[in-house]
Amino acid sequence: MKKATKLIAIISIVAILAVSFASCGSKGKRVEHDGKEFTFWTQMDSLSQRAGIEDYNDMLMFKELEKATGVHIKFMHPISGSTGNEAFVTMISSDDRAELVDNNWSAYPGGPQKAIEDGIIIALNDYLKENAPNFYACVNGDENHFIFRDGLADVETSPKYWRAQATTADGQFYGFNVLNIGTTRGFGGLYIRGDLLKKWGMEIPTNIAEWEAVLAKAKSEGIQYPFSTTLDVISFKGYGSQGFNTAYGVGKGFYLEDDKVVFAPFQPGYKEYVAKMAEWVKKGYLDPSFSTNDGEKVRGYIVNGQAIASWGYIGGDLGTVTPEGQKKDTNYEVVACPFPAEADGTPAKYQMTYAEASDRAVAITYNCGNYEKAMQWADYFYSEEGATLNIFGVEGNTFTVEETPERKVYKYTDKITNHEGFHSVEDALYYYMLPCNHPGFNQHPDYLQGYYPIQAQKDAVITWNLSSEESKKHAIPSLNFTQDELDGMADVVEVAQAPLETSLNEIIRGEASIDTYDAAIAKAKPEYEKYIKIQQDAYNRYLEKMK
Amino acid sequence: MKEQTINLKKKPGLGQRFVDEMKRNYVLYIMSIPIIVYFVLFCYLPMFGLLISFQDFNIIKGVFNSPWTDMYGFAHFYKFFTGSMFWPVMKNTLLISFYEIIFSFPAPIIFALMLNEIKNLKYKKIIQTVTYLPHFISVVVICSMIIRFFQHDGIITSLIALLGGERRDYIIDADAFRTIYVGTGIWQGIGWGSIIYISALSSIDQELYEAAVIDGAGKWKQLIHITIPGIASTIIILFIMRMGQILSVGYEKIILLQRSETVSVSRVLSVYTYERGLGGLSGSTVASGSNQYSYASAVGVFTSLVNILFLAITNKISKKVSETSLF
Repeated sequence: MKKATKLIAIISIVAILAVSFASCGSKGKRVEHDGKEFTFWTQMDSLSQRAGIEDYNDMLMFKELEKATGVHIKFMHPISGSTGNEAFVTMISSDDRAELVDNNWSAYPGGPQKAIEDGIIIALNDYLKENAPNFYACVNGDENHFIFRDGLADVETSPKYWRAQATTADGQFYGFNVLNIGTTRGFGGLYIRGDLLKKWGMEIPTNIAEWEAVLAKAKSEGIQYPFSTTLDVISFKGYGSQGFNTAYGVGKGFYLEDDKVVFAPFQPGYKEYVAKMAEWVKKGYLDPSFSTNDGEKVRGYIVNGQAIASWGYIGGDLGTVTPEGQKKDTNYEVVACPFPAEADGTPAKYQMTYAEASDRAVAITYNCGNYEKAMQWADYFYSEEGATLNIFGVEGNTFTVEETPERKVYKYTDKITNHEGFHSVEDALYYYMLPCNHPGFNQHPDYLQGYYPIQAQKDAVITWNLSSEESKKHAIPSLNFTQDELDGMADVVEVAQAPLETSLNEIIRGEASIDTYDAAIAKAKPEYEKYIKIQQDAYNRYLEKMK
Repeated sequence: MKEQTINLKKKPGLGQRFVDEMKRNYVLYIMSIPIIVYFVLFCYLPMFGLLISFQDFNIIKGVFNSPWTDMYGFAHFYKFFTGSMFWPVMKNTLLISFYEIIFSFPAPIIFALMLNEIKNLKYKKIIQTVTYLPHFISVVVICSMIIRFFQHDGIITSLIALLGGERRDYIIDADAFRTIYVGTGIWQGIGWGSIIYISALSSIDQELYEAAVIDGAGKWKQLIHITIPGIASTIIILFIMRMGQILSVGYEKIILLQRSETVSVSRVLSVYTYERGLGGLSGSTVASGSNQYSYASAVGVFTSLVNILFLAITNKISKKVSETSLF
């Protein structure tokens, strides 16, 4: 009996080993074909999924695309619920690799450069001119390309950014990236109750003095916490959540001043900002629970009138607060406020700023059976017809077009704006097409005006992007790091971030005096200097590419 | 008698005995196949993943082709033991675990004993159901409730203020973190944890109590001399198993409750593993490429080894002292 058990154990171990060795990865095979059909791995947009799309081939846009290009696409959508990047890494390291892969390529361990070195995807530079003329014209600044002709991007600066941001450290294009056009790069900012301002006869605040006047008035009207928000807005983390700091000529997180990487709390002006926030907590203007608040709670305050101003996003905050508030009071409205100007009147230099080209791209894998045809297919998104189809759908069906002296202006039809058969405009849009964050052009101004249903949102697109051009010079683009550099940065964050944030939060909440500021900074400085150095090195490499 | 000795001498071969064994018990073997497959697939196969803690793991190369680290594969362990985070993380883990063993472990026992004394069945059932409830609520919901409760204007903060305490955000108070963590843990687990004790209590022979009453034992004496000895072996087994989780303080609740202010007391081994392995450093600008799978696995392996050690030691002591043991 005992020996029999032993035998079974040995058999099982052998079986285990056999199974596990069999699963070792290989480069996979490549079968050439005539390019009439490709497999395409892409995560389905959650909005499309919500609207009822199960396969992109059911979507109007892809049906039309097949007619226009003569290429049939077999979509491979990761199982919904699995988080995208895990599914991506699993797919890419298996033998079952798609021919075209759409994902954020910084999620590949080691970045896109490594993906090319590992033989997973192919470098495109040698092919582009011939097989992707539209993409090539775009990134090389050909004035005849429609986005330059129509003034949707600047022929001098935009291609420079795209070439730097959509390539590997070696300057190779690795895929067809999402390229941003127009000027909208920010989707969040400060906002306030417009109806109350009108009632009190006040203007939308544009600098610290005006903000103070409004908050003081609100306090005297018995508002519990005139300004309530979450930690990110008050703390130093993240360039995307700019708030009152812009009034002191200082940004958030790590950013650039004359191509030098700097860290906000070490910059002159940040101490004054912290002192002002502490003063506001003391006077009762600022909700002292900012470190523990979540967005839900703050939106509740804004809807119920316990707070009159906050920081929010165009979609998630302005879009939900307004209809909720109007249920009780038809006059209820919130309005976007510009980022506060400096005391001497200089407009804010910083705002939320997405990169000009995102790391999301359709790449062509080594396994693809026809590189040329695959590129021609992907290139269609960068032509005028392809971009229009991608962003606006089919003329007469989902959009109408109007010729103006400057450019063609696109308008969605009632089918979209009245969202017949759908819960919302975005559901209707994403049922028929993929107007945003899909390889091709992104943030088309006409799309944004059509996408946001509420006037406050349409206005916010403009108000929160007043500093768009200036902020581009300060935001750090997506950089390529080595593994050692990544580990080095993780070490710094692990040791230094929590203590520094704790010290500054204590000052703001009034638990510590502003006199402790310098000591907290001095303590964090040696660690953060290392982080800044790593970022600067990586940024210098990026600048080399820009040349 | 003679036949038997001959049989012993002429031992059948291994193959023959295997066939005999199969013939005799094939039903049992067939029935056990799904379980064996389950353990092989989900418990033993993934164990090969432990190899990556001795490698510089590259997800594309896979477990078998990644290069080994320096120091005969122990570079990640060395880095962890000599790193600045080792002692703080160990201290945080052990302190929380220690408080849980002192407060959270006995709580369900005491609760079960109290429940056992309730004679009104309906009342008992209601109490039981109500105390089970928190166990079934998602930990994400539980944690957002906890945060609201202990905020500046939260219900528990208000209660503390009413009793003369200070009104502040307790959830970001590093000194209060362990109390909140362990306290809410009791609230979450007391009902569920008591089930096993209640069933142990119900198996105690009622005649023992009757005999004790005849001998003049009061409620207290019955508790000391009958009830507790009756469930002692259950308590000991669960205690041994609890000691086997001494370094496994869960990460879910901590990550959900954690704020910068409380990182210094709440960064435990599992949280540290998560931060390093899955790049979960809150608010960091480091992209997902920073995942240090190998280093995080080394920390995980260390955690498991210490856990097994504690389990074995407790088991040994228990075997000596009380003759109850797991193995």
